Amino acid sequence: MTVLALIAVLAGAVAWWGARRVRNATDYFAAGGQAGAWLVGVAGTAAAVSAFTFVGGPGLFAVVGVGSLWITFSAPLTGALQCWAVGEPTVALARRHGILTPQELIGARFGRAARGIGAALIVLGCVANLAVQARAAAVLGENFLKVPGALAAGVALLATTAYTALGGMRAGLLADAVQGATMAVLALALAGAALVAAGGPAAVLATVRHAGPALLGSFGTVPPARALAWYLLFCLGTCAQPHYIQKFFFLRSHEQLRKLPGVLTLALAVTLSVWLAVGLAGSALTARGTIALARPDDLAPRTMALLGPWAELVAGVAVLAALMSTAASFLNLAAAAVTRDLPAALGKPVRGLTAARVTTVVLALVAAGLGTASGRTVALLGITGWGFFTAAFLPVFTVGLAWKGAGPRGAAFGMLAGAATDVALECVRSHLPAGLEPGLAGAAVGMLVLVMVSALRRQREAQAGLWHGGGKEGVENP
Amino acid sequence: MTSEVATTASHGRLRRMHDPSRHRALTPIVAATLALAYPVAVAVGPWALAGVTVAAAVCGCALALARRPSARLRAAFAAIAVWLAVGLGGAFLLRAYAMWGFAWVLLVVYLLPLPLIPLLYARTFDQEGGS
Repeated sequence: MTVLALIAVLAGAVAWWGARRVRNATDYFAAGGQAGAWLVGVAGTAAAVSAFTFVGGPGLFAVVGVGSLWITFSAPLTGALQCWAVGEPTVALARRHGILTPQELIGARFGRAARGIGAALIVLGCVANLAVQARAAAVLGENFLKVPGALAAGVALLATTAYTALGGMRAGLLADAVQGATMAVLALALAGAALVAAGGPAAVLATVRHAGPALLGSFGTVPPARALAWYLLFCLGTCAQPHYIQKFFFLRSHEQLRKLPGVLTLALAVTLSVWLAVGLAGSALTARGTIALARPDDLAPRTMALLGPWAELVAGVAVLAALMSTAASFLNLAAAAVTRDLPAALGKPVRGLTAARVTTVVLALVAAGLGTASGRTVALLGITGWGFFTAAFLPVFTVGLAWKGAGPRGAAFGMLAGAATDVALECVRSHLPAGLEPGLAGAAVGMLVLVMVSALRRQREAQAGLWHGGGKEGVENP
Repeated sequence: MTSEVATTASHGRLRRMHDPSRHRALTPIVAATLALAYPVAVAVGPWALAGVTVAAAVCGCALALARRPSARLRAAFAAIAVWLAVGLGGAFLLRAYAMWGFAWVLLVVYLLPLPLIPLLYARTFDQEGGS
């Protein structure tokens, strides 16, 4: 309870600090666009690493072993991949046209209709992803902090909402960076403590090898195709997550991109150590009968409980930091979509900062309700949320920014087809063959639709002598 | 005469390799091919999916060639392709060996490239960004 009260006080202070510094939309949605690579990299990792890493990841390791780590194995590549594929054109367009959000980027490249569709999909995805954070907060409250789950979810989301609504990303970036640094240090401490408590790395490996050798194969107990699909989903998917792309708008110059992959990779690798170490240590402790699990998400809390009250407190703070930083980005993106992009797409005036603040509060309440009511594990909810954005936005943010021939209709239909395919396949996920991830399948369908519709349109316009290249209402290709 | 023809041909090849419009034209073709290849690979088997994984990850990085093609960038992507192919190939070969499989993926697929790929990015970074 003391931790929750402290979080509320700190959030209030950040909100007050941010509210005094927000003067315009650039401050509110893009943190003023004056940040350096270190600040953006650490804050970006904080936004990227959700409670999924601390709660869902180790739990998944207990079930499928090394197979779960294929979700994290793309970490060495993703920082550079994001910058090569999306970051460089995004920063160039943002500097040239004063773009503040990913959905504005879609609008600048593909016109008003695509911006509206992108904004609607971002609202849907953000609410689903916020629900993941609320669900994780409920697990955190019940297991780490020993308070009712709904109370923990409510306080965490309300505290985040307070500073996000009042200070926008000006406050959000600062809070994310502090949370990211805190998370990295605590993750490393928890990883080391868990391994030591379970008898050291050698003893842990020996126990897991004896109890379940299949867990330590290259792919654990998951079929190789599924492990590879996770790798691909979390590798390419980084180019499609709006809260990742949002961070590029915060950079003060193109030069800052040079160092960004290094910072992102370092911060991510340090934080992800908790997944491997707690997963391994918890699995060994479970095999020895020291801890018992009712469900996979119990692994991290039970392991921390064994370490002592200090570890539960530290883990509680780390998970809170993880989920609050991720939630802040989603709240800000969704508020921008509702108050700026959807009205602009409908030809109505863009709403002001007060409307953005009210929208932020409403979205947080909806997500808290959805998250605490959901019965799915945090890991599954996390993969579902990530997959939706990958399916909807991978084609437009990669090929759409690189190919001059990509047109507004192709982009709009590509986003819709990708999202619809993902949702349809999620409904029958348990019947899908190993390796067919709904998010990847959606992205594949969206990509084909984007390319085919754009090519057909281009051919028709060329026949009519109308084609000029690029988006109809859009800016030039970077 | 022969060397002049060879030099001219070599320059022509170089010019084509460094032509951003050529990469831009290839982008939709490669993207559509990979999009079709993914479900086919799932149906064929995990080795095919490993091939698509390597191709898709490298092609994602190679989108930068559509803006700023260079020999250095191409070499970086070739290195990434080799690393991924070796890493995934080893994972397949060692999948039945509990400790060896784990050690291979942890060291080769994860830890080894952690400092190298960001370094590759910094070394191939272009201040102009091809914008």
